[in-house]
Amino acid sequence: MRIFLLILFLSVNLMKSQDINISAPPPLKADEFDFPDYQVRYLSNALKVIIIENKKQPFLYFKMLIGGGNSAENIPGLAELTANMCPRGTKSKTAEEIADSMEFYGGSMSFNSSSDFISVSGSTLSKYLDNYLSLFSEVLVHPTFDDTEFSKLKKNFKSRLLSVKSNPKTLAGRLSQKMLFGDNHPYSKIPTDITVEKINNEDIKKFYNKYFIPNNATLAVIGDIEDDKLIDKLEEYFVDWEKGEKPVINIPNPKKNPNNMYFIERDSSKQTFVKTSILTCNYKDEDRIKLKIASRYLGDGFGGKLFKELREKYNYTYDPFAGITSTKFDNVFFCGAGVNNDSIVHSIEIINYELDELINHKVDSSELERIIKHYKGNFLLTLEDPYSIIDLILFYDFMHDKKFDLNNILKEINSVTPSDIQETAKKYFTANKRITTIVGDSAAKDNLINNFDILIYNKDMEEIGFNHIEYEINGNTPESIINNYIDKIGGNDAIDSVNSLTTFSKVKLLVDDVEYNGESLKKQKRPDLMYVDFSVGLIEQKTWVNENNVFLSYRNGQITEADSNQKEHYRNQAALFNIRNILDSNTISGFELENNNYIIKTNQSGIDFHYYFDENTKLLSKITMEQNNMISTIKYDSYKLIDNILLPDEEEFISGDTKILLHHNYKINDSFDEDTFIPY
Amino acid sequence: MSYLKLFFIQILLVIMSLDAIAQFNPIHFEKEVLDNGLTVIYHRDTSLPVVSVVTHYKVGSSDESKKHTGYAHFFEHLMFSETENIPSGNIEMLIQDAGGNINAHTSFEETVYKITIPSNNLPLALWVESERMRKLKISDHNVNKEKKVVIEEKRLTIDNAPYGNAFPTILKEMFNDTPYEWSVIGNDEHIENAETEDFIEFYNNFYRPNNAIISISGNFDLDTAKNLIQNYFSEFERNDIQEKYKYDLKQIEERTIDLSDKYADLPAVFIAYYGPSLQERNFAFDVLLQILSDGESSRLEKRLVNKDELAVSVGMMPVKFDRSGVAIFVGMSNIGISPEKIKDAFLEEIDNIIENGISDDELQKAKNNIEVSFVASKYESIHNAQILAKAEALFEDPGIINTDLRQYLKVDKDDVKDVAKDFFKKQPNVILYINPEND
Repeated sequence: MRIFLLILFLSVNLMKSQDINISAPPPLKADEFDFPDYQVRYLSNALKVIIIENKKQPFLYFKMLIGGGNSAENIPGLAELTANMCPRGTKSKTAEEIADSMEFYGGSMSFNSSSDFISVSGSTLSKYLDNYLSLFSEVLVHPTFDDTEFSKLKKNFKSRLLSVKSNPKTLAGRLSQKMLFGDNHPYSKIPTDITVEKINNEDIKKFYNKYFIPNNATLAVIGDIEDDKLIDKLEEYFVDWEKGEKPVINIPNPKKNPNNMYFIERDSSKQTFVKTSILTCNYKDEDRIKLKIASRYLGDGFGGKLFKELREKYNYTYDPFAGITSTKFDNVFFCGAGVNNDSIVHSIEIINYELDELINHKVDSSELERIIKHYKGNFLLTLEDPYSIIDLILFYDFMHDKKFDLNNILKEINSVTPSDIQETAKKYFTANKRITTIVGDSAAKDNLINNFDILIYNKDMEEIGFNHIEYEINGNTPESIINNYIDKIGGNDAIDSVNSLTTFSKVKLLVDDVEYNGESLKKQKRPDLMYVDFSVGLIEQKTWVNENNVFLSYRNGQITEADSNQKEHYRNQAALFNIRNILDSNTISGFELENNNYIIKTNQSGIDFHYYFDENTKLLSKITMEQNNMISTIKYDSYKLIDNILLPDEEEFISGDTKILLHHNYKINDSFDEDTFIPY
Repeated sequence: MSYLKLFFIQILLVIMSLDAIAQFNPIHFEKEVLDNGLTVIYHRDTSLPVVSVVTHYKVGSSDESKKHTGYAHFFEHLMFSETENIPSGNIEMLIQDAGGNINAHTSFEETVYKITIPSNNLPLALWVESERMRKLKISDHNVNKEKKVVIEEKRLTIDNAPYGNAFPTILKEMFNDTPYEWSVIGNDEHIENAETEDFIEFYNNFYRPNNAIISISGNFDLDTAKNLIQNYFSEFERNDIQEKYKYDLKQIEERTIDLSDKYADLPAVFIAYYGPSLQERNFAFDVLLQILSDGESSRLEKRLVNKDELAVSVGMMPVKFDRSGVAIFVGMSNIGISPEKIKDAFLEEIDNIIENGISDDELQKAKNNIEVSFVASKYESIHNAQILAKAEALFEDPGIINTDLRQYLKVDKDDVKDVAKDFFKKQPNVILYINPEND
């Protein structure tokens, strides 16, 4: 019903739109290349070793993954403390001597722990390989877990926990994990002062003895060395490392909290951090690659949909993002941004809208093609960095226990279609599966409380309040008002039986008291096909909406593709009886009774809509729209029964000095050729 | 054997021994200067079908006036908008569509645009940069849009970040009335009041071929690249570039500042001294900082973090400007430790070096680590392209990408002691304490 308003809104922009025809130079002939070949070998103690030769510089990079990270014993901080105790003293060297010896030759060695594994990374000049391996092996195989060093590490660890407490990204991430996985899940537990204090040196030794065994680890080495020579040296230096019983790690199922919106107050925050998170699949699941591409569709830097909307269109943010975690089980899809404090509600709506769009429409195939090209290209670009090569191979080996095959991965990426993205989105992204965590100041909290049901948490992830908005006047709610309207015009069954609708209209246009007459023809078909031919005075516009494609033509007959903003508006218009959608979209911002009209207030894509429903007739009488202080109104009158459905016979649109009067005639379930909705 | 011959053999032995220590595969490059003043550096590396194009403009925040701060960085944003032949929003799309990445950064002295792309798309990368060099469209719409984005960027990186105000506060104190007193991102008021006309003037002034260096590194055919450069860039006219603002640096005496920070959870101390400039090329100073704060075995980490457990983390941050510089020590307190204690321990360590110098092992360790950084930085084409361009911009000598290491290896213990005296003998110029507001 809002199509005519939008024609007028958009006509100025549309007149300016041009075909994008960029005269960029064509590419040269592409060079072929092969992914670096590599060897997989096993030491006599069962340590798996991956060796990649790279003679570009006289240098060597090392990385070892040891199964069993933060999730291994479900004691937050235990894996990280164990890893960091290794270089703090061995049988023959103190912590200081280890640091001195390692760094004297420019070597490096760092320990990190993630959800599923502990990683040890390092590097050395090739000429110092023996010095390096001597220390690397000693630290891994012969740590002594000195009590004094453990006390120092714990103190430092607790200070570091405090230092990240005000980081909005960290806070939102922690609360998201807690709400998606539940309090006691190993993927959501975070170390605190209390949990760290409970860990003793015996716990550390037990963890080390259980997980730090060669048959539970894989070492990858890349650089200027030959396979056999390296294996000989590794056998020599790791001769004391004995294999043991490989530990089994069981990860329980997540228990998602039923609520969807969470807030943490960060005093005087000058920006608000918004993050939407969704539980998805295990790492090896075939859906993951589709989810990865969906995340790039939303958050692929400059080309991502959130960048285009949140940054380019509305300028609410500098850094929108999207991604998917890389854990063995139950990966989390996430997206969001640090946004202007005045734009929080609309930013949340945009994020939800874009997730809805992935469900409701197939992504544009040319856009998907660009995302895939960029993704594939990035594989090639990262191969310049030896650490990236190690990461690719080692991580793949850890997750799949088989050899990394770039060609296969590229094939998988290539095979993802718009339908795959839509089906995956339908499977995972529905509104009830999303949780949104927001970190902002007290004004942000008040703003959100007025718009959403929201749970309030403190920085220690403890619940401190729940705010539920109840819109109710005289026993009526927005839901009951819309249900009454639906019942009044014929009921859900009657509406659902409408597969197509043709609207012929006589049109009278009044601009500055000058009158123009004309006609309009609109054809709509489920799910979201639409054709409009609008011709009044000097205005001639045709519109075609076909799934994700929207085309427009004007007086000159030239057909242009709508830009992304226009597409959003026209696709909304194409859906039959779309007023039902406002209850699903979490956009209701107010509910009032005024002059015998119930008013449901919403904000959609930055525009404030007020829907007026007559208290007596239950029918929609008026919609007002306000954006940038410009108010437009559509009034509906003279409802008539057409094939068991009440539809307005008259419609009046007013905006400034412009008025359009329409007198409608309808035809329900007329048969249309699909070509009606395609311009060519 | 004559004395002279012996002398030359000794020299030769010194050079040979240095080369024997510093083993790395050197970066071979070719430099070309077009008639319009554009300098181009070509470095071929055929190990992967990847190429990087870096376009380095010799303009940064130090070229701004005090009333128009943040313009160089703001302009970097505008360079991603539209050109005569690339409609709005399509610059990044073109590069992504070709499988490449595009980015940029602005600092005090430079604005650098970076593209890494599969090598068969070198023509696209160079064409995009030629479009941006002289065919950029600067409109009210784009300027107004980017104002809000830049403000959000400033909030993210400075206004809303723990310790975000530390660095701007130190610069303002130490470089008052010079172009280094403001942060690269500029002041809110100047960003909000920026005019389109100002940016058109900025563009015409600084975005000229004779103020730019293009550095191409990676897998490409040299003749093809040279032809592309000619085709895309030779038409642009050179222009007189606005001279840098002249300033007299009046060094301030010791100042102690206390700031409360709403977002910080641990107290911290920042201790700043004037340091060497880019032009000074003070290798001994870099070695000194390496010894002080690089790695767990560095002096400050050993004393302040591991032995005395005063700090959670420590570091020394050198910032070098064209004709000046600053070295800032940062220490973040361990729980329950006052930052004054960190300051006292830091000053003791500084006095110790000034008085007693450094050991042979410390010197050798620093040199080894510099060598590692030197070798490890030569894998990626984007790094090589950037270093070559920067070396040309600062010293008109891209060859230092291969020769700087030798300069570092020549530094001896006395050099390090002397440089410690030169820069750290007096009291620090600024001591800044950051205290959590909610403490």
